[in-house]
Amino acid sequence: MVVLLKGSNKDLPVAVWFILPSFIGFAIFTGIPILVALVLSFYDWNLLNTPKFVGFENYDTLFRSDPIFMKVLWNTLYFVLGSVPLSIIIALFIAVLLNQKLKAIAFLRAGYFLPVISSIVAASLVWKWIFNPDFGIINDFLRMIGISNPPKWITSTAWAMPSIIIVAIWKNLGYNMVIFLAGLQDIPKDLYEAGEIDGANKRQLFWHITLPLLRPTTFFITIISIIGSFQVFGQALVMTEGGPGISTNTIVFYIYQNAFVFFKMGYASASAWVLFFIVLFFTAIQSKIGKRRGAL
Amino acid sequence: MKSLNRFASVFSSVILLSTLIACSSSEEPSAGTGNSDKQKKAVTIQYTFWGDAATKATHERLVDNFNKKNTGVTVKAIHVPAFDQYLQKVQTTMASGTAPDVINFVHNDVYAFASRDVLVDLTEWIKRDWDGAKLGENLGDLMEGMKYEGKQYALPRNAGGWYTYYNKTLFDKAGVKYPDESWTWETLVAEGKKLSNNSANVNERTWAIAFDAKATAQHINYMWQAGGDYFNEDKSALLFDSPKTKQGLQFMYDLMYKDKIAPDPSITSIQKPVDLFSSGQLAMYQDSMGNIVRFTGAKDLNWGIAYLPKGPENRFGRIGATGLAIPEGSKNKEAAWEFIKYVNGNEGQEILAKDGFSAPVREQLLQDESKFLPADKFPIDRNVAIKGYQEYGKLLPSHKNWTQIEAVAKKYLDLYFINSMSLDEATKKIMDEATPLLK
Repeated sequence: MVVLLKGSNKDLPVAVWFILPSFIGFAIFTGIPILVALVLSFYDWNLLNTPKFVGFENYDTLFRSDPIFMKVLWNTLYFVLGSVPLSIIIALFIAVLLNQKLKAIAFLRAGYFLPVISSIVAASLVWKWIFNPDFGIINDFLRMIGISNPPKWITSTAWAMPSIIIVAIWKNLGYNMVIFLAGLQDIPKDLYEAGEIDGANKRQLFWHITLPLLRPTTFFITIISIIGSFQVFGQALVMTEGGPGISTNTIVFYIYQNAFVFFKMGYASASAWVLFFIVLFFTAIQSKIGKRRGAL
Repeated sequence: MKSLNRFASVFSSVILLSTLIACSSSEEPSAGTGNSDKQKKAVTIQYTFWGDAATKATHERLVDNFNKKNTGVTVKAIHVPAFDQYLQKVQTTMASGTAPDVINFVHNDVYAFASRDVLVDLTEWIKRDWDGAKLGENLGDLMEGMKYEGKQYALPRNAGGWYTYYNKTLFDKAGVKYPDESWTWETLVAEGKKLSNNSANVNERTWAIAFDAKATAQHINYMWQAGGDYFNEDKSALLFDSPKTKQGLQFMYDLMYKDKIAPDPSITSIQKPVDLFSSGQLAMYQDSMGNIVRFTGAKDLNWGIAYLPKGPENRFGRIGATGLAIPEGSKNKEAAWEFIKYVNGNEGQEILAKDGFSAPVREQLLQDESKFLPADKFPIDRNVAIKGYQEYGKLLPSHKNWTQIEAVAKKYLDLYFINSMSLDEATKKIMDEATPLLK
């Protein structure tokens, strides 16, 4: 948008018309609610009675006297750290494998992409069975290889979060993989040919050609994954309802819980704005790193 | 600061137009009009409720019957399948001024909503045209449960007791006599051991009894049976740290981890007790009256109903009671009232009772063998159904912050029941976190 406005492009009026519908949609369904949430975060409102202005009390409570919110922040960070690096590394690995001339390549690619388009609610329900400590396929396998006391997964405070991370990785893998594939196919073939002539082996080709040239792609995926991971909600709602206890209660789940279970709209809005600043913070850092390394 | 404050409040009230709409129209109930004046314009009102497909069908039939009477009021049924989404929907439609005219509430939600001044006080209307014989038959406890500060905010729609459903096949196989009024907690444990099978082969496994994985419906029954409760008499304090409350919770824990006759949450979070019961893996399943209909239709299930086993003090089980209320934002309050009277009246109650999905809220109908749980349609002991409801049923406590208090309790009881927090610690956390909510 900004770029368009700067130049004296004669296509500009046409472009604006094309952007307009999406822009209006964004303003009505995202922009205005964001502003309303900002105002509401200074109010005490239960949806039923007239909102009461409370100043910074909601923020004050969040940071100073809500022991759950700190745990929720930590849970969210745990989720991000657990799911983002793994889902990127595995996605890259699979993308490299699938970037070859294999039989049934389209089928394999589609297979990895399938979780992305499947409904998170349905997928979570299936995963609940997979994680079943007694009948679940995972524990069946673990017992088969001799682990007599496998974890209780989503019903254990220690293993519930790893379970959700596993599902998240499975779910996001396909998306990251497709983006990586696109990135891989953009790398000119002659670079590899030149490398081979110079006597580089497969590993060297990967480290010195593939990885550096994929940097913009990796950067994009990292940002998108981190932003997405901070907003994890579906799995936590369907698989564990934030439990056991509060072990899988994440920021967005906590916002949902405050807004639509306890009907503390002001408090929920304040948490939402805290989340906004956290995401902004991480994106700013990444953007700095990215610029320095020339990814953008 | 003050002008900023004012600016903020003006700004927000512009944006939050919705709340203003919700409070704008209020039609004061006035004695003496209504009945005499049948010249009302034809109006359409909305009636919202939640429940499964069978419940939906029952209520649509109720609405159809009402609409056929041509009272000038047409009712449109709005069904929501799941209860947790139901309250969200009710509360958000109230905020946006589009709430249905008649809303079905659990009795303690009537209390919570009434405490926020969003429901119409029905006291005067009841006095005006619903007194004497018409009202007198309503079960007193139910009426009492739908009051807030002495005023009536809803009329009862339906209710139902809490029972032990038992699988006769499993009892016969284990050579155990069917549960009856002589059963206590001790009987449950002793006989339960005969009924459960901890086989390594998961397909052969059976359990005597089970609870929902999430500490939900059932824990309060066991707390009551041991003499404990959520609140003290005047609701100025929580009773989670009382020895009696703890005894009830400890009993549930022991059934899972000491006596090992109940599955722990790692199993029930995936296979619900009702599914275990339906598939013949569970000998006793405790739930509300609605399951009579559910199991009556089930194939290959030979079952009966019994009272809950008696604890150290009593055998109370919770009553699921719901009532109909009118939101202040409704534009057709008188029409809504007509429909509420119909549902609470004999005709409406008869339609609801016919399917057996819950008990009628009127004494005479409850005792009428041809209308409520007729023996030819329901293969159960009617007397157990009625006595379990009238004598051993108890209403959930009411509090304006019930939802939040309940959420705190569940959060820590969950941890206790999965064995990752001690009872003392869990109840202390509940006390610490929920006591401020009492204000």
